[in-house]
Amino acid sequence: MNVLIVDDSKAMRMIVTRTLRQMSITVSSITEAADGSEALPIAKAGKFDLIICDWNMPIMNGIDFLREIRKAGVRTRFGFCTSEATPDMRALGMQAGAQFFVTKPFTADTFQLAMKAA
Amino acid sequence: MAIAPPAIPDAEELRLLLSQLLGKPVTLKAPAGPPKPNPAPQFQALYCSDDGTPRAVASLDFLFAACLGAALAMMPLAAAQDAAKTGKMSEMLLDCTKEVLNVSARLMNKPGGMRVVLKKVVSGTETLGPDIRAKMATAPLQREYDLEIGGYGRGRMVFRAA
Repeated sequence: MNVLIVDDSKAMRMIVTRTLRQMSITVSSITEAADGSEALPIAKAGKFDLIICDWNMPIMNGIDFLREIRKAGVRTRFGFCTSEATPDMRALGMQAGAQFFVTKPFTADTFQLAMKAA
Repeated sequence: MAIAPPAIPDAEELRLLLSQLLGKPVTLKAPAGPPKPNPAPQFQALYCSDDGTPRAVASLDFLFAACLGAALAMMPLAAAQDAAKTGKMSEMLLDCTKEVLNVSARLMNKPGGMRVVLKKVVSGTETLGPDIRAKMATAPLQREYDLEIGGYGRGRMVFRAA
């Protein structure tokens, strides 16, 4: 599985990477970006199986990034990984084409459950 | 109708969140009464509402703040201790500490209350402005917690919200 992780926190990108590697999925490659604007050309050009994205980020936030890639025809499975996910945020995210939400803090088990439930 | 100020994190919710986030046992005691003066070097996190207004501050012992970051990154305790000696965290340690405080904002956001996000962190010679300090000194909501992270040590966190 080729994964793109989009988060302005280097620490959180590292933790998501660690968590993905603890899960019972085969991760072939992980690409990182610090916000939506940096991730946009990468997502458009790359062949990813999964995009994990923060909601609050500078320059281009997660929801705008998701809308942009869907507009560009990128159909990659997409999950938000955020510190809070209100019902409004979930509705907005799902409407824009997200498949799942994972709230921080998470474990490999809760992360996997969220992905499977989608 | 006025919106309620952000909540002070509940003791058990905070303990649980840190324990899950850091993957370490965390114990927490909540001394009664207002926060006591703390002479230890401080690390402060400022939380603002959507319009940018300062609404809450978390003040931590600098060493404890460094321990939070080190525990998140699975760095050794020595990394936090070295940071405390120099009064400066490495970029990675600071990023991790900020992330812990960023995630903790979730506990201040309650249904019907004001929503806040982590705006900035300061330590050492950098301090929050006098206006913010004055506002938080008299904040109606103030709570002190004594915490211990397994393998990293103890420290104090004080939350103030207005």
